[in-house]
Amino acid sequence: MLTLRRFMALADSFGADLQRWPAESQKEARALLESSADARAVLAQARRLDEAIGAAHRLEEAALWLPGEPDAALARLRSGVAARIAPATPGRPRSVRGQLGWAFSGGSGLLAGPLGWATASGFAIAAGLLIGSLSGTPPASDGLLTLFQTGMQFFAG
Amino acid sequence: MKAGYAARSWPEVTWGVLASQVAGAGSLYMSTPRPYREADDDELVSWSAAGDRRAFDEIVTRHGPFAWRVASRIVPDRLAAEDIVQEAMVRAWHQAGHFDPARARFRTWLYRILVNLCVDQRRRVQLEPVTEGFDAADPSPGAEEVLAASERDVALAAALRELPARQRAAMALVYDEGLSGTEAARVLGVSAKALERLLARARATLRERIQAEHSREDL
Repeated sequence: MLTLRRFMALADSFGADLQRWPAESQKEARALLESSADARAVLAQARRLDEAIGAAHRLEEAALWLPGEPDAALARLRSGVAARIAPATPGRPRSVRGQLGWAFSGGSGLLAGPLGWATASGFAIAAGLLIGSLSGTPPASDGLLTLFQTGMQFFAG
Repeated sequence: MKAGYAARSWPEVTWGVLASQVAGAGSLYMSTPRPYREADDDELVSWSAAGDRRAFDEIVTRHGPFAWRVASRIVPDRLAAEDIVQEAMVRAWHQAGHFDPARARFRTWLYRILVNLCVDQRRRVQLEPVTEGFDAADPSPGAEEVLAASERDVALAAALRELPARQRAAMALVYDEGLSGTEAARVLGVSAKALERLLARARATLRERIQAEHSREDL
């Protein structure tokens, strides 16, 4: 049984619109309204406050929502959220070894295997000779030529 | 593996590698699109938890306007409200795997994240009193309504904005968004009785403000 005291408390909280009231109280509230002038007076007072709040609310809405603002706000929200939940793109700098991994990789890399160091030495000497010939500077001494010839004999077997 | 690659042309191999990487990237790239618009919230959250960003975009589209309305009423700073809504959505994305539809509706769950962020923000930022600074001659759209409004409405709008955050949240959820008392209480993490008290205190404050305005007009 809904008492007038409880009716007043509910009106103080939820206002005059019985749809907002707890579902289990709505039927009894309607019954009380039919039988009690005090209940009707309470609801009329609550309705006046509701109307004032409604007017203030509309004023707030007018200041808050500019024309087209909801659509623009939703577009900003979607793009902002999409950017923040996008999978992380690792931008970490790759190591030199990582960038030249093809040359050093596992057992199938170009410089792997039993002849790896010999191959590397050959590349190094060949590169040195190429740079030397391009620079146009004559060898500093016959000793370098001797070293090259020794190296070539080594690779020839 | 090597033999398999060798038996195929290089475009086939390249496409095979790309396809396997794409398949591993999540259901976003599935060949058969999911019925996002027809799906209910629980399905969308479930797909989101599995990494489907398109499903989560549907959630953002569906609940974004409501979330922004609620946030902008609790946090008067419009830009701050937008930031909070975005943060709430991102948190929902990261916590989607923890959502249990047996325990709460998705809207309740999302609003709870949102309202908690709003209340925290209001606690951090001390609001300036808006009564003195309320510019009735603001030339922005909506100014006509401001000019036409009675002083009582202006004062009451200011009083609404100055309500404590949880009272304002309760008002926004029940009065503006039409949530039931039970659902609003769940969002705020309080009992139904506590929600009634929040609403009653808010209305009492607003009633006092109206009476003060009437007294001022009578002088």
